[in-house]
Amino acid sequence: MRPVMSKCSCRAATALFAALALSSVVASPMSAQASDSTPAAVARASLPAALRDRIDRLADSARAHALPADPLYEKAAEGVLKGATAERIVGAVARLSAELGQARTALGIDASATELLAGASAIHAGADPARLADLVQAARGRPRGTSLVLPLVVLADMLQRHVTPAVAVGSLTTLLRSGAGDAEFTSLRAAVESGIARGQTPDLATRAQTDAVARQLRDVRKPPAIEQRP
Amino acid sequence: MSRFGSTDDREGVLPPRVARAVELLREEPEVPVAWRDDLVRSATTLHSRRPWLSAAAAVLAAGVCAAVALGHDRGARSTDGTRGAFGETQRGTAVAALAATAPETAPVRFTVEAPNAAHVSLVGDFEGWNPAGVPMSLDADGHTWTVDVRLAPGRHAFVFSVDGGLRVDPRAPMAGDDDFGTPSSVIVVPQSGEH
Repeated sequence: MRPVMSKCSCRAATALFAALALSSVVASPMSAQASDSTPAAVARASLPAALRDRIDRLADSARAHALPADPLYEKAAEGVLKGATAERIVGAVARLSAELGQARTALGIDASATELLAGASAIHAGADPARLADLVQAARGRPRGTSLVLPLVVLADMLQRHVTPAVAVGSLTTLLRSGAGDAEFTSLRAAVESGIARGQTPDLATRAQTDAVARQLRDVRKPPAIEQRP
Repeated sequence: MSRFGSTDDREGVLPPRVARAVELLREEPEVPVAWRDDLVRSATTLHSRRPWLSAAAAVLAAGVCAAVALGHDRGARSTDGTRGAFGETQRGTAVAALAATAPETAPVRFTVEAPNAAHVSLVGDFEGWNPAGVPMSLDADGHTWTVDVRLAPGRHAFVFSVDGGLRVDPRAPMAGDDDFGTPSSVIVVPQSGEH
């Protein structure tokens, strides 16, 4: 029996299916912004009209540079919630847009929107964008699909707790090279926080806890000793 | 020359949801860079030329580009052998992107100690910083407020609203981008299968 569809037809059908599938999930029949119920759309709708226009322009500019725009609306809504003036909100959103661009440069074109946002947050907290690239390099050996979001969140947290940027990045780089996963980064953050609460300086707490976590990782991976029989 | 238009076309600005779809497809590491660029170019070109088609046209381009890319690269991107929308035993990039566009969510429990509070809610970027927030309920112990929500994978900033005042979660990382004088906390929800 002859096949009903040629190879070309199959491909066309496949393409059509892909388009329809994407359209049904992604596209909205009317205005994407008006009917959207994503957090960013909710955030946008909550903005006063004059402020919304200004944020729209910043968001358009971000999209034109292939940067995620949703975080900009969410930042603006956060500012409204926290009672900031329009000028302060616009300034914060513009700064976030610039930091997303710096994060893109540092983390690379393959970085996800969430990684960019986490990277921008770390940059905002004082991380040197050039040093973020060190994290990417150090993460090369991690399992495929593992994101850098948590290490970047931990970096931002450390910087907020006054860990020196070089010490914080050095700590995370060491652990990434040691094969640390998100569980280890979560433990590190909590331990650094505890160390600081106990009176250690932020840098000392970070170095001590980094060594402890790295030691644990080595111990876990050390092959069991072979018992020597006489 | 792009598969769907010349590279010197004027680039438009995509509506947010289309931009997100294109971005997700673009982020897929297994689509060669040249195809990713084609995808973005074709979507933006179509949108700039046919604004009235905006979402549908841009998404059509993205879908076609993804399908062609998959058709050209059969066998190279098989991830788990699951039968997918693109036939054979492929689980395609566009399907992964679709799944990410309508993200799965994970249950997350938030708790905060506020013994004397009358009203506590959870406010965060996951619901657009809506001031009303998600109401929390007082536990039987009389001082712990709890709420269970489902969050998409990713990084989420949040605060607790305790009788109208904003409070961070002392057990969560602090957001590094406090611009408004009131800090926020951060929670990271991993992708399923990511540890």
